[in-house]
Amino acid sequence: MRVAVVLRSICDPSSLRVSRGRGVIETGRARPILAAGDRRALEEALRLHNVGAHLVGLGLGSGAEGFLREAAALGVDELIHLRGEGMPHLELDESPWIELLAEGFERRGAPDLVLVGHRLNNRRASPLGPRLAERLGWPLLTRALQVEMDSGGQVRARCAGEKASALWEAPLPCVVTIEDGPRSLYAPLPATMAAGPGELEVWMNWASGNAEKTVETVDTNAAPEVRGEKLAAEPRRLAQALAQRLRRWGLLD
Amino acid sequence: MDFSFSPSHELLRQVVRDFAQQEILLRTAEIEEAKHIPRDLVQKMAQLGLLGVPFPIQYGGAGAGEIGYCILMEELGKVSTSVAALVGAHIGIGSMAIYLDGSEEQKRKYLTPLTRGEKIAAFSLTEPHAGSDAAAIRLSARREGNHFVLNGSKIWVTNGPIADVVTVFAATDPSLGPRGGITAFILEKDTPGFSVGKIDEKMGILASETGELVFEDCRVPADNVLGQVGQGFLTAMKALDVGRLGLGAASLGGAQAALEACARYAALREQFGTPIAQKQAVQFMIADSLAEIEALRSLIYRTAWMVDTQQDFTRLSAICKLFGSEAASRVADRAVQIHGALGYLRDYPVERMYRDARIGEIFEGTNEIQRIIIAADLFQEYGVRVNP
Ligand SMILES: Cc1cc2nc3c(=O)[nH]c(=O)nc-3n(C[C@H](O)[C@H](O)[C@H](O)COP(=O)(O)OP(=O)(O)OC[C@H]3O[C@@H](n4cnc5c(N)ncnc54)[C@H](O)[C@@H]3O)c2cc1C
Repeated sequence: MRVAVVLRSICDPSSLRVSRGRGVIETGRARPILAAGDRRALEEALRLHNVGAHLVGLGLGSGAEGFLREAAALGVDELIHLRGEGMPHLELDESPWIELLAEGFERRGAPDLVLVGHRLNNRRASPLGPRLAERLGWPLLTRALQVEMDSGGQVRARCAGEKASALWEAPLPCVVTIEDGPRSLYAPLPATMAAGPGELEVWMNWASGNAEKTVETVDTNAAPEVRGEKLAAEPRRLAQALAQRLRRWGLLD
Repeated sequence: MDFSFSPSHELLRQVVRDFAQQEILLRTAEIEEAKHIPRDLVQKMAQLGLLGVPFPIQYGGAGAGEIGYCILMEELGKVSTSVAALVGAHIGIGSMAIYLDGSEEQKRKYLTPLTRGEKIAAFSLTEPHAGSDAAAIRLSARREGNHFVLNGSKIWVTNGPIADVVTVFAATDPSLGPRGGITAFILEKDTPGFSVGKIDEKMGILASETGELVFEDCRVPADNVLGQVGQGFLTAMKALDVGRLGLGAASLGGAQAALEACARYAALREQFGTPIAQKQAVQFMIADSLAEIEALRSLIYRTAWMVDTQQDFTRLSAICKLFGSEAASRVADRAVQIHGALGYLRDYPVERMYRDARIGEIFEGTNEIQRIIIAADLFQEYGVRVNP
């Protein structure tokens, strides 16, 4: 049973600056945070992991790498980073991200269950869950408080309603959106310090063409990306890291 | 030169920061009111692995080294000096003494449950008449067969009332003084002849529990001698060297929190028709605070890196504690000033920060003593021996 959990990196609203003079919201120094609903989704996914599910973390957005590392420290088995270069911020438009996810599933194999936060931030419901279900042609359960799988290929979720919660069932594969809730899970610190998540698959923007070249594997233990960066690793990893950067800068096909 | 943190340390900071903001900051009022750190919070910290951050994984720690420890203390210092004091006494000096000088068996028996947070540590050097002059301690330890019998008292022991394990320093041969006459012991709280009293009514760090220890014919097994008999003063000084760096890091966090509070307030509070942030006098206070904080940050993490790379750091850790605690006090003082009357209101965050910052200049060796350590270290290069 493969369960994918969506981990969206959004801007911490308290770190956004409004430039009145230029009439823009400055995102340059914005801190990435994990969408609160997705953290709850991750907690639910880990409960399923405890009963044997194989977990795939799908990090969306350029700031998601840190959250994938955290997901690895929490026990997520497989990590995929959807960088989506040139795509809009998730807060502005999730459509291209939904497309990237759906295409990724088509190319790389779909999970049995996708968990995603019901809300992106604490203001509005996110379209990602419903629209991904629609795009994939899968059933959808929304605002789940708790998710369980049964042996007969069904997913069962207690979902929040207007006045009370109700138990819903759907066949797999299925998309479930997870209701917000208080945070109860932190990555154990010894695990955060253990070696990085290792292999991280990266999905770029399929729409930009060159689909064959958009899946690559990078070593997340490589040096962080900074200007004037010094790469130090054993030769094979060093070559991979260098090639990856050259590709990103458009210097290598 | 590379000033970036490793991705693991970045993640450690993020997790500790989230934990501190969600689980501690939101409960600050409750914690201060209760005058102790709630046990459930200590348990959560233990579950997270927070109580063993710098120590190697083989002893149940997170293996994050001194850099990780400073990150932890900085983030805790931002939200609660009381919690930082608990962790500082537990990790920075109490457990650290065992890590530095304990035998392999002592590390397995005592350090491992301490790093896992199953037990809490304290460090007990100060006595009523021996504060700055720590070499003058009188708690006596007399050898009797396979035991040492301790008699006397200790005072001002952070975590004393909650500690399961105390690193205690006693005079085994007063005629030899600090060079050969003081021995360190690992003491378990249930040892007969040992009792603890609580010191209340402190000015700040109200939730940090401070104790007074009494030893009446308290028999400690000779196996619990930490390091060599007669070498305890050295153990104490080595542990304090590391501990002071953590204190500096907690001061950094406290100063950062005070700065953020007053910058936010200055941007909102209007007088004479404009936010007070437009007033140069206020800007200067904030700029001075920021300059001190940035200098301190560089100092702390450079020193932590020196510890992790086994370089000599005694002078620098004393500077971290000295400069850090005084910078934190100055920043908190400016924060109160910028808040005007509100800054003088009890339990308003900057009022607490102001009271809490002050302890940094006193414990783990007063700042006068830090100045002596720094000068003594410098004058050594000129062949001058400095006496306190
Ligand atoms: C809240 C709290 C927690 C503490 N926790 C611990 C703990 O966990 N473990 C522990 O062992 N101790 C602890 N202490 C004790 C602390 O380390 C001592 O208070 C400190 O070392 C100073 O000792 P003293 O209070 O006796 O002051 P004194 O030594 O009497 O000093 C009084 C003043 O004289 C100055 N002075 C002294 N000698 C000199 C000199 N040679 N030159 C110049 N000035 C000098 C001092 O700087 C100070 O200003 C704690 C204290 C407090 C308040």
